Amino acid sequence: MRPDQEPTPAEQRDAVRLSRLLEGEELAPGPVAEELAAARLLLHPVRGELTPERATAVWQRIAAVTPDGRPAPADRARPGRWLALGAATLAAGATAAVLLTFSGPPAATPLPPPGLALLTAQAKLAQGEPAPPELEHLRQAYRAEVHAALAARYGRDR
Amino acid sequence: MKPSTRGQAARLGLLLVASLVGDGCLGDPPAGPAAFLANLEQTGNRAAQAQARGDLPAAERALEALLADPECGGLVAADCRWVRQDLFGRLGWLKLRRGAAVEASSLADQGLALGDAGDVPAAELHLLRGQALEGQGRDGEAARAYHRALEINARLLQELLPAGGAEGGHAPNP
Repeated sequence: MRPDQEPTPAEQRDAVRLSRLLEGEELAPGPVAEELAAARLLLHPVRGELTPERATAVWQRIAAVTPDGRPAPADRARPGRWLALGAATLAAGATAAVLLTFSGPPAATPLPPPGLALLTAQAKLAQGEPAPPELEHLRQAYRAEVHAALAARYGRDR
Repeated sequence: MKPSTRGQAARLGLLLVASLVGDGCLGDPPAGPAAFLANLEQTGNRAAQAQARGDLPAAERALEALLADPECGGLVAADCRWVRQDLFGRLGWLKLRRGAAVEASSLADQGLALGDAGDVPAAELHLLRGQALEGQGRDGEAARAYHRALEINARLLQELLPAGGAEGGHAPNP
């Protein structure tokens, strides 16, 4: 405030409170009262209950409070920011847990079952009989069916 | 920019393009499951044609080229296993036809190392292994391989029969 300016209403209120305090009247709890209490502690650290370091810490904490008693902007933003960060971390963790629990490896493509003729020809070969002449054709036919099923899922570049 | 600096920059640019083409970044078709399947069909057909005309080495080369990609262009692991076991089986049968029993049994082992899912390619690999081992005089091992092939075969037949022998529907691919 410049000396040629009229005091603001807030300054007038603070001045009234200060004069009452100097006259011994107890102030209602508020920023002015807290600042004065801290000032007292700083001025009389030996008499007070706090060490000078502790008193300084108290003063710094109070200094971070705006005149109307709300936290200073930097401090006011901090709890919200930490809350948001915490919530985001929790959400990310929960999402990861759900994905890990329920996703698993990608599912295989449902393939057509082999035909009876192919299985019979395979069984003959496994039992020591000579390979049936149609076996190679049956293998190729089944292979083509499986490849078609895979192409239906993945597409096929031409 | 000085002319000599421009010349160096141009040379560097040409080198970069040449290395990209050399690495296949510009010349090859894009990789991926669809591209792999297209190649599988074309190269597989080429192998079958070569086999039909008796050119077994050409057929083998084609199948070996398909086996070069262990990831099958990015197919799901179970699908890739099916395809690769089938390719190992095809290649093994060709080797066996040429009298290379040891190579054939090695290919069967490589295929089975991917897992025994109890499906047609697995049964084929056990059969191939049995025949290759029999060709090497290892009859006991061959008998065990045939036995496993028959087990798979019996189970697949059982799955097929409840539907009255009809060949329809889709089986899961384990």
